[in-house]
Amino acid sequence: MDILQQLINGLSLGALYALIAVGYTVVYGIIQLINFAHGEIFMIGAFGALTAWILIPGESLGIWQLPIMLVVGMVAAVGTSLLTERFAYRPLRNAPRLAPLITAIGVSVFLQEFVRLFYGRIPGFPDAKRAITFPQIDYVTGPAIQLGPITIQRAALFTMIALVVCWVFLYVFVNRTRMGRAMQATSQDPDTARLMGINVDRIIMVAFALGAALAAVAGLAWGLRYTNIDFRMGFLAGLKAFTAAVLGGIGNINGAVVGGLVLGLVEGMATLIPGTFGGSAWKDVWAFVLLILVLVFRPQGLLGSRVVDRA
Amino acid sequence: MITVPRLVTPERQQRSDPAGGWVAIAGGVILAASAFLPWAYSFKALDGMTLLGFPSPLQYLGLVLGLLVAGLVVCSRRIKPKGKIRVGWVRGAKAAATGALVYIAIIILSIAVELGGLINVVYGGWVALLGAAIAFAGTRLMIMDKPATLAQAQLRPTLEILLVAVVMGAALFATAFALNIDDGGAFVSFIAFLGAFVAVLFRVGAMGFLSGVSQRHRKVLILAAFVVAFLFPFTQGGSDANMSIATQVIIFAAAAMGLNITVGLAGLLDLGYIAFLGAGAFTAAVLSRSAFATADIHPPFIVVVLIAGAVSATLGLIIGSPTLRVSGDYLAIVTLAFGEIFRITMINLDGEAGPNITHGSNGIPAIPDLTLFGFDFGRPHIVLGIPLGRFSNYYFLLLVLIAFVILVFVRLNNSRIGRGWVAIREDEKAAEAMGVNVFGLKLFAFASGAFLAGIAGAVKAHQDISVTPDQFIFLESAFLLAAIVLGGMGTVLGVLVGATLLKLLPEKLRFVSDYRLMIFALLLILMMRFRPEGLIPSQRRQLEFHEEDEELAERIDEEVEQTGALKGAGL
Amino acid sequence: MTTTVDVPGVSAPDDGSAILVAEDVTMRFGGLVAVDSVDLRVNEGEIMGLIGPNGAGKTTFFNCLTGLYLPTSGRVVFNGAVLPPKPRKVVIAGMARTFQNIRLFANMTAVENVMVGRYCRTNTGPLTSILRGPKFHRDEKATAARAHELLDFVGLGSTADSLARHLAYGDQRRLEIARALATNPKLLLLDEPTAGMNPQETRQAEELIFKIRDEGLAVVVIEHDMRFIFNLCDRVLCLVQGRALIEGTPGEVQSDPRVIEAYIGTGPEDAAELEQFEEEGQDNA
Repeated sequence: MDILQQLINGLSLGALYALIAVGYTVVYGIIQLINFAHGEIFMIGAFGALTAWILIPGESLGIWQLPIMLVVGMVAAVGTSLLTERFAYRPLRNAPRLAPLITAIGVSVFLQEFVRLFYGRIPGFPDAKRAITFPQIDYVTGPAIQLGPITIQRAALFTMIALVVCWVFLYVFVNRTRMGRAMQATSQDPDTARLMGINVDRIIMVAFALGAALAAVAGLAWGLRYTNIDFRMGFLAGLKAFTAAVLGGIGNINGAVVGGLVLGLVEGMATLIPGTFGGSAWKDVWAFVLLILVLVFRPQGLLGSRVVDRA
Repeated sequence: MITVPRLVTPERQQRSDPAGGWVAIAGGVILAASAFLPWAYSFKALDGMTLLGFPSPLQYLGLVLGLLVAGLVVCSRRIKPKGKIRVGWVRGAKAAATGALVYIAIIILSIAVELGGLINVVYGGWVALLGAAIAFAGTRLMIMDKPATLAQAQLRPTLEILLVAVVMGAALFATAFALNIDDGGAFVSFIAFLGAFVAVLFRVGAMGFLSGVSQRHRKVLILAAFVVAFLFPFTQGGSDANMSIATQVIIFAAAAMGLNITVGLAGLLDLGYIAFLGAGAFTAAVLSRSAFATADIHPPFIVVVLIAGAVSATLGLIIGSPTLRVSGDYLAIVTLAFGEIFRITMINLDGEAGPNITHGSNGIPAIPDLTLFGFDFGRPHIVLGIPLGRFSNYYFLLLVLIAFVILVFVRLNNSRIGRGWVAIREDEKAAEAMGVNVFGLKLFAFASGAFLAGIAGAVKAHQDISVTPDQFIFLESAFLLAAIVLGGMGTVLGVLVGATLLKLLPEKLRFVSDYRLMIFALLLILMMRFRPEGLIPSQRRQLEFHEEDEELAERIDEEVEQTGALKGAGL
Repeated sequence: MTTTVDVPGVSAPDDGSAILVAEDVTMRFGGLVAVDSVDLRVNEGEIMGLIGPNGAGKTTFFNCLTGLYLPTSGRVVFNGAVLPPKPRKVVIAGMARTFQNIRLFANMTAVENVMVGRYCRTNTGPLTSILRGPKFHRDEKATAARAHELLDFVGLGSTADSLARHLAYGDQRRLEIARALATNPKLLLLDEPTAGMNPQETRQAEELIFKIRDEGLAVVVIEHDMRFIFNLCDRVLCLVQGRALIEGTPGEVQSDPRVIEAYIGTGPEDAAELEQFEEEGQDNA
């Protein structure tokens, strides 16, 4: 029954990765940039949610507490993401590939440090130099649910439901709206899209915003699940999420979701491996080994059809 | 985009030029005179600028800048160009004035920060600022002259060699001086002065001339550089503190130079490079005579170095073979992932989660000092009457190491292999179609970088005394990459400068140590935006990053016609 | 060893040895058949022309010949051996090419570009380069000398140290040829070498290709300039919609009505062009 438990754990972790992975895949699909700083966007979403909780006393809001935290988190994440796009990435649209990548690393470190140094300076806010306890919200956190032999954390359930909701929204947005179709067109051929009258700059902004919004959801979910947030939480989560995006097929939104879930499952299963190289100490290693294997044997990912041939 | 209309148009400059010259001279003289006045209220600020009639070193530098402005303007009026040789007097004067203004501004700001408020800036400082501002305004009113063409100028060979020696000596003196500055504000001001001075040299054309000299007397230059580097410990008067910093800088620079082969020459983005350094360090640690070493064999150090290099190179081959075929972007992420795999594995080999090879997160401490041919690196020695401590010993060994790394780098660059790398960077498919072994060359670059990192890691283990996994985190890879990117990809001098700045500045600017990562990040972002080729780029890189800049391309084309080849390695 | 297999559909004269034989080459991209069962035979020292309207599959066929694409079916035999589908191995076997849109190494000088071509014929390894013994200096001298020799051969001797991106357009095309020649090919494939050239440059290109043939190489040329093709080539293959329409001497090909129709069509608005085409044909007959 351990397996079943780990399966559930893996799925909930995978849901988190999936939410973050969409941001990577969408941005890469359109402008071929690995947005290194996306992990930090996820972190900022979590901090945004925390901020909402600090600023607005919970008692007066009751059931609206959670949505408001979510919205504020999204605003923070989307705002930051758009700022980075506008001022750090857009000027480098035509530069050789190395430049935006290094800029992205710079933005990532900058955002981490910014939160670490300045968050605590705002009066009334806790110091961000060490982990901060994340608030627990009724119904969404609290005693775990028992389904027979399996224990499901409420927050984990929340994450998985959030993923489903977001995925439905994404599906409708990308396939049924004008903006979504414009995004698809731009990701296939930006120049032709421009000739068709699509404002490519705006589409790119939408892509960034979309990814950021989902990352904010993940940030809130993470805080609820793991009960604390930290300015460094974006690094490893971001790296794993990118792994998930590649695993599923970069540029493919469904791929990002599938990749995230698969990665979560792999990590969950890896903790069950007996003996050396098993257990939770090695699960990260297995996740990265999976990444390398995918790139070698199936670079287009599980669902992707486009082989990224650029070298 | 908003464009600011130019206040002083070229037409206005025609009319104002003579007056501008006098104004600039006046400003320069005022600035120079102000050096003898007190600038700060308290002796504690910078290097003690409170005395009337006794300028502090930084004030002397202000005097130098003031005289420079005035002198250059005078020369521009008096000295006529001879033949094709043109000196950029006016350009130099403009740069000097701008530099002086920035310099004085930084000093004033530093005084304010260190003493708590602009009120602490005494009248002399304001006179200095006034002088600099007047000089700046004056030069703004002057007509810009054509760029200097000193690249073809030549002096007698003996004079040129003497010049090389003098420049090297000045560099040594400046470095020793800079390292001994304790005050953070003073250090920044000195760097600003250096920046201004170098900018003036560039604009006047001296740099062009010097680069011509250095190309004619390349061997002398390299010899002088090494003599100067060798002499450095002797200028410390027995103190080992700076030598400790110096050794950190050299190890960092050596690793960066190895990475420069992978990134700078072959264009492969390796974000997990620190793992190769770590593999070498752990190999050396495990094979050392430390009480915590987990292997029972202790080969001599030379062998350990080679084993460490081989281990890292093998790791490089393992990682490179599958991933170099795919794509550049993916390579970055895969190498990053591998770096993390390495770090986590090192932590896990602690006897519980895995076999005990590295003692987990505690690492392997107490690595004994090297003893090569009877020379104990741990004990101070007295040479020529000057005591040289432990770090000085390692310093000499590291000089040998970095000389080796640079040698490998330069010789590979200027060879068939180097040409292949440039071709791959230019157009990989075309290179393949012309018979270049693209995959083989990429793999070779990757493994070579790894090998050199392994060697550097082995020395690092002994010098740092202990090796722990958290010395090899991703941020270190980012720093190494930044050293190359900021300094100038693909050039020896660029990487050396970048590595030095990145390792040295945090040491010297302790008053902002909390912000240093943020400053580092901002630096990366700004450099990529405004000067992606780095501070001292190779000409080819400049061309690559500014594809649309036709002026640049023509200028470089002219130079290439004269010298016969693109300055690839900046040497 | 050369193949003397009688390849059906190709009416090439059976004198001289064949250096390149493409047998029934087909290239499919998903549902699109870009090249359909094309045969080709090029003999040593021959200049072969490859013509056809745009979209006829010429460049795709070219890419099959040079190892850039692996044919869906059929095979290419070069110098007696089946061609390996890797551009690099193709070059080492002795087949070199130029590109339709010039792909020089823009930020390298002309001589450096040509020296890159020498890569596969030299073997100065890393150890030699680091140790800089006599072998290194000999190799480097030889490479540079050969590069200058080739630049002189194509007429670019005076611009050896100019950046490739600054050369005149016609010179850039010649530089590409010099670079390809540096790989010591037995067969040279030129993809639209006179595109964008004025008549004088075109004549110079013609002379250069004759010079190359005189050195003993075989040449295959894709071109649209009919006069150029008919002056230059010993034989011509015409592709239309991926299929070989006709193969023969220039005279045979350009007087074949199907070729004229393929290029120009037979509507009244094309009459003037048709006339001009026929005139050009008569000039060359």
